[in-house]
Amino acid sequence: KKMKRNSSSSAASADDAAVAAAIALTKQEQSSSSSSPSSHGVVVHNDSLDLDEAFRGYSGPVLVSKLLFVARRCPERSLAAFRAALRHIRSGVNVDQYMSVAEEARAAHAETAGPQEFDTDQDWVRAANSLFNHKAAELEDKLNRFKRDPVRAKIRQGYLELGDCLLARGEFTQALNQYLESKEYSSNKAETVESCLRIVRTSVYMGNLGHVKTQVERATMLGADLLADNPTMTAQLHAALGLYWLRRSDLAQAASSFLKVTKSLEPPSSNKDSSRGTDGDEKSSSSSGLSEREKNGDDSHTRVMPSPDWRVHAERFNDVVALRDVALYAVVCVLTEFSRAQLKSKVFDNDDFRDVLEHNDSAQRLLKSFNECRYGDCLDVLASIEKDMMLDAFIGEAVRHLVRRIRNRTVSEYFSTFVSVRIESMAEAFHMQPEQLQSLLVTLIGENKIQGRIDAAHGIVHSKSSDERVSTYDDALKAGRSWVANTKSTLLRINLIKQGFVVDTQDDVLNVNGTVPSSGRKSGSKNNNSDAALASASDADDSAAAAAAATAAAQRAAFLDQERELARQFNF
Amino acid sequence: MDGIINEIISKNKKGDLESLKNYLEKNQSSLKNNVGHISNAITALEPREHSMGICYLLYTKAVHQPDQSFVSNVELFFDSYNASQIRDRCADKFATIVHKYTEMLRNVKQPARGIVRLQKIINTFCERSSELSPVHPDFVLLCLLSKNYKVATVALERTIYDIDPKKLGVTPKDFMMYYYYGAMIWIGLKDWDRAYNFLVTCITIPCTALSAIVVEAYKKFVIVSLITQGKLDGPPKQSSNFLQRNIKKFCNEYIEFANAFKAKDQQKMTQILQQHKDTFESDKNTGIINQASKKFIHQAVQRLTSTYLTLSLSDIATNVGLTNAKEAEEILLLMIEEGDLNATINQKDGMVSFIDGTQTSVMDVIEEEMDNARHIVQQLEKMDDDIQVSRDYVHKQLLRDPSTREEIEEGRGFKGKGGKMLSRAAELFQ
Repeated sequence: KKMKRNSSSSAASADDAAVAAAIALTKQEQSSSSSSPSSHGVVVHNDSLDLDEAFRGYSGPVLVSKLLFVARRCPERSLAAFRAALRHIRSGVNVDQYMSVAEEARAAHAETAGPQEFDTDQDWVRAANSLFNHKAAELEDKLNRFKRDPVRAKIRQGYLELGDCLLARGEFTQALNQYLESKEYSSNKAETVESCLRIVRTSVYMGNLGHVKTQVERATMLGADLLADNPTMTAQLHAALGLYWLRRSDLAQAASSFLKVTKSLEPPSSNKDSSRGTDGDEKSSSSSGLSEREKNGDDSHTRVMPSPDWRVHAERFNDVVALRDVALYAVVCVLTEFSRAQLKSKVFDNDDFRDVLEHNDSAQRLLKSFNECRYGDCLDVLASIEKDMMLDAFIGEAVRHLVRRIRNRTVSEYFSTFVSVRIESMAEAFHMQPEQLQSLLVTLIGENKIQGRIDAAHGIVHSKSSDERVSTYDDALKAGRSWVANTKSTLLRINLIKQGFVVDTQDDVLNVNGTVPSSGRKSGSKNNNSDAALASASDADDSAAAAAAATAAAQRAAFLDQERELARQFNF
Repeated sequence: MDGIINEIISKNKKGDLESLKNYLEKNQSSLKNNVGHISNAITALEPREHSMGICYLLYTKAVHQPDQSFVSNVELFFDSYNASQIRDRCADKFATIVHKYTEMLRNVKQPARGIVRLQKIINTFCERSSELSPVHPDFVLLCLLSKNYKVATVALERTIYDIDPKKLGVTPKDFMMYYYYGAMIWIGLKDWDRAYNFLVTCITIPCTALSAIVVEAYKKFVIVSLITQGKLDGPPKQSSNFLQRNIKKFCNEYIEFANAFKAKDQQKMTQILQQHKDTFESDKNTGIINQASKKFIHQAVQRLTSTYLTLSLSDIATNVGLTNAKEAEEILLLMIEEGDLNATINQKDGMVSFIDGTQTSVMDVIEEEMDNARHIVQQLEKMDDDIQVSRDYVHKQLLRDPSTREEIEEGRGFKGKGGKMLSRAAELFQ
């Protein structure tokens, strides 16, 4: 691995600093590989996840990440996911990742896999290394030549190609540096944005999305007209930013970003979300390509050899996120955070987004049923996609929270239209059992999300008409009383302080700290008349001090005894 | 001894109390040496006329020979003493006499004997009902010991503002004991809110050292907090920093209990009670802790009223952690009697209907509270006025204003209009 060519000193130092910061984070995340699903803390049982369908269209390191996410959490799909991941890794040249994933797969599936299925394939390693080294050397030479003959465009191109090559190798930080350099040589704004997007991609590949926000901000600062002229880039920027917010659990921001994505995210020929049938597009190296045979235990991934695509295809975004997933993320975030008014203005009146929505059937149904207040249907759709969503690398962690919030808000909104409603009929509307709904209502009332009270005898919930007059009086009384009490005690304390009423160690106050009242010392030194050395004086001091402490302790004990004697008379 | 008596009589005739006081102060050791004769010598004096002298004599006896004759001497003295001679001059000695008297009554187990007398003394010794005297804690103590709780309430209900150690000889210890004993009276009368206020006052005394009294008070404070508010908020923010930092290590068990209470973890509470049974017993706090456990259930039931309009007895039982519907019914009946709950129980189907509190003429209550508040505002205004004309404040203000500052600092007179007046004022306040 000879890529140490981070020569060029200059470079936007802010970017550099950010890069350096991200490196530490990356190393952390990449090193956290583990062997079993439960060591990531969450186990998701899902025996209906269709790996093919779920990750159709994805490619590159992101696809691998998504597969590994499943492999680590879902026992039913773990083996298949590891196989698919390795199959895909082997078509590239990232040797480090190959070794660590193979090891992980070995550990996790020692019993279930074939005898040597996940052993390190040294032939593959050699081939991958040699391919990479050859290509990298070639590109480096090219770049050096260009630098001697300064044509900016060519130098820029050189950096980009080198960066792309490093990306394929998994050398993310080095790739970042090349892209940063390339920015220096861009001759117009669009080219700068192109470099920004490369960095965005790299950040997503790395898994921590740390750079996304800054790069998107840089790009948008370059001008609104620029973005208007480049719809694909714009869509890509918004989609990436959405992922960033999703990772940060800021669902409201995520929703806003995703809603700005247009169908330009994917080139026109890409697939819309048809029915569940396979697309039969198995020969493209970018599909997860699990045929039936492979699902049933075939280890054909062991025969895949490297055939890397050294270029990043800037006009596509399927190496980051697919349009159908953007649609789904947008809808669930919207349902969690947006009010109905916002729903109308930002979603339904948003023509561009409607095109995006057509790519995801479930998302459409979710939105439609919510909008028409068919909450039962809405929650049913949510339940049907919940498990699959939990296994999606971008949204998985947020799913539990999302689902709970959507359910809570639908219940609150439904209830807000009633003065009183039978629990049974409300439960029907939500496709729930009455007991289920009742305990949900109790929780919501307790959390003050619903103003209501339950008449358990008749199975009715009444909305609590808060009598404002009564509560105003109550509040006034409470406030007044507490002011009076506080002021009284403050007046008293002012007088206490004025009179120097402070309990300190000097007083006869049964000190519990064991410190000695200093008067003890004085009497000690008086008693000692001899003109002998200070030694005996201090002895007397000490013994007097000890005596004083003893008397203090004795007094304290006496007090406590007395008090307990007193208290003994209280029999409650 | 005779010499002293003569001095007392003659100086009193002349009305020369100050020099009498100096004389008595100087002759304390002589008094001490003749302590055995004091009972006799007192017969030669008139309590009303020679109050200060008798005070010194009885003080000597209190410290050096408190015997049976001491008690009767003191009672005679109390019956007709002249408070104005005692105040400001030998109040501290008077305090010692009262404390010793109380202690002796306690030892012979005759507390009730002193109640009426001490109550009278409070009324005569203090000039205003808002003053705290050293007699207050003793009075309350005697009421406690003789179980005459109601008698004490008259005194306890007066709000205290004025503390004057020089005039009345009151000490921080008196303060703490008064509020501690007072709280115990309120606890005995089950007036939890007042008990809470008294305990708070006790523990918010300024301090740089922890007194055993405050520690005991804090333990009760923790429990009473749970009863009145359902949780412990920690040391009140007006309490001194020293206390806030150091109090926890002296009452761990109580704080543990409070945490379990706040977390509504009934099992944990029972466990802690078992675990620390001995501590609570030796502190003699088992009684109030049991009260707190009872209140816990009551509070749980009260929480139900904000969620439910009606609920079956058996559901209440499960919700609150009781064993069965019968137990729930008993608890509810108790709560309704004590006024903690408004509800009706339909025994036929075991349903309970929670009724919202009725709003009986709130305006009256508000009027009353507003009167309280007005009174306090008057106090505040008075205090404000006092400060405004106080020498320290005026001096400071004169220093602050640049036009007057220089004059003050250089000690010159003021120039300009009103200059003479300002100079005079500055001189007065210098």
